[in-house]
Amino acid sequence: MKLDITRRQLLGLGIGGAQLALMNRFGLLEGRAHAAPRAGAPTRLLTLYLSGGYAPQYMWGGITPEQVPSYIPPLQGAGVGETAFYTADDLIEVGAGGGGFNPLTVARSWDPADPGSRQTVNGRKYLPLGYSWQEHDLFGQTTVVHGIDQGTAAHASGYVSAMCGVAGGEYRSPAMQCVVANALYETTKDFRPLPCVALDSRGMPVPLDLPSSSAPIYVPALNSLRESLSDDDMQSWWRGLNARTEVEAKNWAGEIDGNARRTLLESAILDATRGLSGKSQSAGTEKHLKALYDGFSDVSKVLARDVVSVLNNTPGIEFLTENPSFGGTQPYNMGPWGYTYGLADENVTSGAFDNVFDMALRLMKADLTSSIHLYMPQFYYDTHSGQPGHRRNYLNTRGGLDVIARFLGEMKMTTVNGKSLLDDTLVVIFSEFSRTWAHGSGQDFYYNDDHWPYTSVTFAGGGVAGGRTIGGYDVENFSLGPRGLPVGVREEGGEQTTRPPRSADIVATVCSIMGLELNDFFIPGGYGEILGVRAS
Amino acid sequence: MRNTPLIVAFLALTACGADAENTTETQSQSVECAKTESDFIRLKLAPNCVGCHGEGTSAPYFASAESFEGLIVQNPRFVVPGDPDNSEFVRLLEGNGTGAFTQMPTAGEPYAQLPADQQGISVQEVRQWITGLSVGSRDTTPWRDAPTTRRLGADEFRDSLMALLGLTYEDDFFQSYSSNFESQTVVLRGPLALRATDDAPGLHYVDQRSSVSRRWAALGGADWLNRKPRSYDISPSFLQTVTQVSQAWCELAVNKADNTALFRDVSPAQGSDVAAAEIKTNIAYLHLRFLAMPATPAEVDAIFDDVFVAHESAGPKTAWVAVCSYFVRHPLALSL
Repeated sequence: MKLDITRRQLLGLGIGGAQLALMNRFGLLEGRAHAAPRAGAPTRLLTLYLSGGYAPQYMWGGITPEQVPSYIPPLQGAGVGETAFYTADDLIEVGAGGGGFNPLTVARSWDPADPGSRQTVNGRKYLPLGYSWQEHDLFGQTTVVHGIDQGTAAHASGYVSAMCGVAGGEYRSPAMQCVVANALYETTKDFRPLPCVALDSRGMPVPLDLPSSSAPIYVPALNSLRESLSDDDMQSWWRGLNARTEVEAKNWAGEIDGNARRTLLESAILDATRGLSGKSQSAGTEKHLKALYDGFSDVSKVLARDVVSVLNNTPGIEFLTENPSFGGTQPYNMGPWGYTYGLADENVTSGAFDNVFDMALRLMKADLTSSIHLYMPQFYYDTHSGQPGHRRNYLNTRGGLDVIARFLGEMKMTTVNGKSLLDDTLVVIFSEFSRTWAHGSGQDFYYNDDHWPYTSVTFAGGGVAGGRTIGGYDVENFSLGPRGLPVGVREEGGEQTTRPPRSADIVATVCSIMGLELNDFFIPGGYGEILGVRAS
Repeated sequence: MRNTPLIVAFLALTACGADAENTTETQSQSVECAKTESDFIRLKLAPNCVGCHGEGTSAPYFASAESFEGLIVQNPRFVVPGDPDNSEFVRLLEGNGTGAFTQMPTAGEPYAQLPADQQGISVQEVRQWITGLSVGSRDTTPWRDAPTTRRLGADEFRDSLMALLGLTYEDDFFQSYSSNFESQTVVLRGPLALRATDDAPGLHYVDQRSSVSRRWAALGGADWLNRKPRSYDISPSFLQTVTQVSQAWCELAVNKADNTALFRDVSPAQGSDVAAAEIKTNIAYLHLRFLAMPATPAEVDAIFDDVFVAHESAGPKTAWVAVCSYFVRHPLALSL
């Protein structure tokens, strides 16, 4: 039976690798390899992943002030450190909203008159964590989508869901970082030799069948880049083999594709690889050989560009002060990326972020990459310990987001190609899911602290219609945790619907902000762009 | 042989397409037409199934005709053409499933025991449909374009390279020394050493631990303790690491004394001015050894000229590092 199958009809499929190959067989995915993004869209994607399942409601709300007393625990802990949790009065509007969307809200834990204060006033000790968003004037460029169904409450599956839009043990569509890198490749390949970068070997984005140029390049700390990205004589095995000459570069089809500076050995290997073209009867084998050819061409480009020297000569931090300007007295001063809370009973030192944040800044400032995935190395949010777990998640969700805000502040103050780095970069902050919510009234609260499949994602920077809250949490029929409220969605077929958002919609929204049309990529099971996130 | 009553019913359902031309737009949109006989079955079962298996669910078997065809009808785990008794799909409807779920729907009575007015179609009719399916109804032609090759995994790359280059952990990558705390400590120190992140302990390689793990990850190596399977992606990180390792390990192998794995016909110190013929013979030997294919004289000449001689100004050993690296990075050596 031959199916008269169409790409649109396949939206209903929840497919795996074999079916993905089947779709390739029908030529349904060919278009996406060549898709070029819309003009005017941001040209970089930065995804920041908080692992373990965080508690976004403790920073961004997602509920009404009237609901706060029932779902945010009572203030507590002033005697041993900063006070955890917040009241209805603390949930303040910090964005303009607009377009029929609600304003962005944040739970203010700092003293508005003295943001760095850690003084106790009326039994409440102020917590500065979170203020960096205001310090760097980021609320207007930030929109948070709440109530996203990840489709799972398992860590590995939730991570896959967050990255590609389909929950499962393995990827069923390419990670969004790879989709974006692939889309931007044609227009940036001459000056961005590292299209897709991962700064931590954990949870590398998976490209599936996308071209090798969209696969993540693992870029570790600056001091260990040489062994993978340099051909200088410091490494003895390059001596006598690293002389480069300008040659005509050929693509897989043998057509001249500009010039390249190659070593003799690289040229010999590329010629040998291309010499195998057409020898196999299998298009799959031909594709495999082409991937090796294109991949080795890209390796040559990276080595010729002397990326290591470029990165060494590009500054990381230029504008941030050694400690946050509002930091006040010790022990809050923990370096540009550090924070502490309580009586220093827990803290995250700046060193936890130094390598990855420094490298991310250098990569973006040197304009070497289109897509960066940063698996945040600091705190594992999978607390699982009832009331103490909620307290730790409150403090570390705010701490992690505060450090991120400082990082975004540095981006905002940096100009690349005549534009603020933040304005030209879509930043996505996410986790695999959230936690089951505490709930109760007065002091009588229950502190379930388990995995919960509904979560929130923060969009910031370029292409984002900032200052908005999209969606929210439906606490009716509350059981362990809330579900997502309906949001406006532009479905893949173009029609507009209203329904709770899913992880696939987040991936589609990211791709849409990055300038891709909804038909330029494919996510099994259906997807749409969440309305109100993208700046029109 | 197709079941006649089913075909008649199927044709009646598909007739809605023609009828739709004479109806208002609203009416025509409310009618979903069966596209195939299998789709007829789907539509009849859908009211009981689509709630859990519709679009947007994690197992959207009933989301569309194509979903049903691809995930149920064409899936031998569920449907065995011509053999309803051995079709799990039927077993599930009858409450005799053999997998994680023993019945559908999962709650209450299995489908076969639902009141007749709650069944869109009887299980007997489903059985007839499967009986009428023939193996030939599936597209079983081999897919000519299916990928038949893959690149080496990290462990395969490491193990094959070590063997091809005549290197061993003991001789070339481990170093032992005395320490204050232990009488003898073994440390992994070789250039760009490769070792699985979750290899068994018993070896101290703390000096390089982070770089060894990083290299292993770049090659797509498995890290089972952290639930990370091996990857066969032809990623930039894989090829960057292969590029560096090929030259580092070839340098090690070329400089290893009496390394007959690489040098069978010539000494690595001999240049083309005195041993051109022997060098070519050795290149032919390496071609067969690394690529599992004999080289033609023209291929040997090309490698001799373009790789060996082209790098010989830096010395014959450097030229051999180039030749060796050429073979290590050759697609035939990197692929299975």
